[in-house]
Amino acid sequence: MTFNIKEIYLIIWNSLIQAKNWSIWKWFLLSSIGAASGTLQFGEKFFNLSAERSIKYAIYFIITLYFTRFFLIFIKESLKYYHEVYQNSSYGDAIILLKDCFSEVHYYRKTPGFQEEEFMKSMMLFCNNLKVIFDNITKSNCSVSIKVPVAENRVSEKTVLRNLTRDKTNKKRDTDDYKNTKHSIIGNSAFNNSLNKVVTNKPEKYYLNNNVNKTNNYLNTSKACYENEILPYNSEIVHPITPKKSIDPHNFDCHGFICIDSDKVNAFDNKYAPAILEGVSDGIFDLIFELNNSRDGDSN
Amino acid sequence: MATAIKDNTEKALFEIKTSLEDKNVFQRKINQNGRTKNQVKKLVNNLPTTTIHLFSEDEFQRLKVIEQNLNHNIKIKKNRKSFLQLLINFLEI
Repeated sequence: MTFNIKEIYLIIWNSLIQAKNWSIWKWFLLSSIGAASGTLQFGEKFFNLSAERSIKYAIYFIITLYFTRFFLIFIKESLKYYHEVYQNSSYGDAIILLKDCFSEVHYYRKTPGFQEEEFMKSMMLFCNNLKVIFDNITKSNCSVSIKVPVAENRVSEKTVLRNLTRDKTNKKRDTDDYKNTKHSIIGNSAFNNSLNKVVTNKPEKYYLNNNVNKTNNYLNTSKACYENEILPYNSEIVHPITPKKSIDPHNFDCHGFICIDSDKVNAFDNKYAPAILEGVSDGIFDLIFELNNSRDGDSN
Repeated sequence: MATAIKDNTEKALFEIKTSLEDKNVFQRKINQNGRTKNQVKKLVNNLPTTTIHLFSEDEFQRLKVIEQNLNHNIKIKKNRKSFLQLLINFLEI
């Protein structure tokens, strides 16, 4: 947090101006009390005050009133400024970081000879930038991972997902235990719920849980990797990697899931966080689609 | 006192329709109660499907090796926080 002195002066100046912009009849009514008590000798009769003193107190009262108004307006304006700067800038920064990610997606789509290294670079860029975005928005430590389904010998509803990549800061979470655990779709509430929404063509396909460790019947195959089955995070939001608009109305494609978790309880909102993930999923879907196309092209 | 939250986890509403080497096609489960076999068949044929595209084990391992190599080149900017920033974070204001 940095202090913008110019803005603070501006807030003080505006508060000083606004403090005097009170209804004229209110100023008149309150300032006339002193004058009236002086001239009509109310102060002298009831409080043993001289006329001069009555007027002096009335002036003090008006000044106190002015500064009370100034103080309250200053607090109001400061809170408005704080909200503008620190809430809006989180989303402003998000736009800038997402612009970088999507320029990579567009670049690879336009560049012939799509390479796996470039594909992984942009996947990692998405994870690292999304971590910065959600750290700022939630004011907590977030972890971002992209999970993809990997073919196994036995095919069933228990399709297994594996971590394609994770933000660099939280790489240590991918322990051998974690890698060796089979993270199935139906074994995890988040994937199961999301896929239910894809299959039933619900408009919102994300899964959001803002207190995973205190949720009854919450399934998560990662729990087995942690002591006392307590997850190292409290909130999670998961979105399937699907296109925003499907070309085929009879079939919806899915390439995996984007998972974001936070160590904070109630970290994610249900308006902006899902919207960001929906847009990112659309971009990642294109990248994987492009990768598959180039692979098919190579094999032909 | 800790309060338990009810999870909104639903049972799986889908089942595998087809499975190929590189994809699994899922379809919504249909409640067959009170429906004839023909009705169920007709309903199932008209249901939309969801295709989950799979990575092969080889492809996945290849991408993980690339990730490991790229990981060395990625530098994460560490934010050094001043005392004031730490205090603000502590107070959560």
